Amino acid sequence: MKVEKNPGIPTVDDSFEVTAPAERAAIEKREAGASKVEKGAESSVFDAGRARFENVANVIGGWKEKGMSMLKSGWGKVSRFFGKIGKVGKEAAVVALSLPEIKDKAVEGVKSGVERGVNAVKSGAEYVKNGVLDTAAYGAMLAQDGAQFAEAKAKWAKDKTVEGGQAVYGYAAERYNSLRDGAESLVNGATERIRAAKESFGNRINAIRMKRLAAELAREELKQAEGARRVEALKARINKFQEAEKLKSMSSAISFDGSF
Amino acid sequence: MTPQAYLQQIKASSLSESTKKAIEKLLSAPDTATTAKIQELIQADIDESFKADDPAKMDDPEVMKVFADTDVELKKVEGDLESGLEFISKEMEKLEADVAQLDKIADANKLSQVRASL
Repeated sequence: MKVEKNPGIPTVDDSFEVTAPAERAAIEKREAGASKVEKGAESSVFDAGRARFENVANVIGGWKEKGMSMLKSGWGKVSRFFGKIGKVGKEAAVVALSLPEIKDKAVEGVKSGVERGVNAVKSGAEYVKNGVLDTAAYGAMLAQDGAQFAEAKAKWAKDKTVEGGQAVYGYAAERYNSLRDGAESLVNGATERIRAAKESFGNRINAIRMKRLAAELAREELKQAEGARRVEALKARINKFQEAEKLKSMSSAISFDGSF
Repeated sequence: MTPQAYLQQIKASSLSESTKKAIEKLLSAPDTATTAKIQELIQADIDESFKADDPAKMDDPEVMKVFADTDVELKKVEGDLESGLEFISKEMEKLEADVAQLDKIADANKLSQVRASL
């Protein structure tokens, strides 16, 4: 699920959906029990190819799990802070935001907090191309934004203003979303590359199969042609013998009575 | 070609009955991944049919080259994913540290406000 920019009341989406049905199927199959291939029975191109892709699907699945765990851990810590901020206007948990007017402005305030300044944090997905994260560009953007955040944080600590609290709130939410989108895009990119590799693998193996079959067919046709020639030669020899035998036989009927 | 026309082609083909049914099911509720899924099903059908007597042998140099190329690509995918997620993991740790600091600021602000109200 994607989180829109300027989503009104800031939300942090900790879902981590990836589109990898084939990968999921491979993982489920692995979890259901070791396959014949995993027991070392790589007897054919089919088995070996499947083993290769199942193995890599497992690895990708492992990384996905790791990514999810990482995001959930981060989400746990970030959400506790957000929870505290969420009580704004109801109690003085965050006194910087507990000025009288904040109660009425709570919803509007957190919304504007996201809209104000913190939108500099771009989605991590923007830095992922073909499953590769441009860490230099992404890191530079985050560092630049981090400097702005440091200023906002220091200002909030000093001024204790509503706006300061909103700004840092929005910053943390947007940064979390950016990182989550980046991780999600990475996994989806990797999954797509695996799919493309599998497709390419199948196409290339099919081409080899076609070539080998065509060669075998040519050999068989040659054999058949040779066989046909041998058949004709044998027939000719047999005919000759039969004809000779017949002629021999006929020769017995020749009457040499001087009438030739 | 309409899905119905394609399905007729599938039904008239030498694909296995289970593959034909699976493709028919996919065509009945198509989505953006339907074409890719159909292609995977057909490839799996081909692979299965060649399983017992595959004209592409494991010791065939051309087959070995395909495996080698594929392994290189798969390793690269793994590496890209690993390095990307590690980078994001480190950034997440920084964010967690930031949030911990924000907590402290919030608590300090609260204390300050309570004191002011006394």
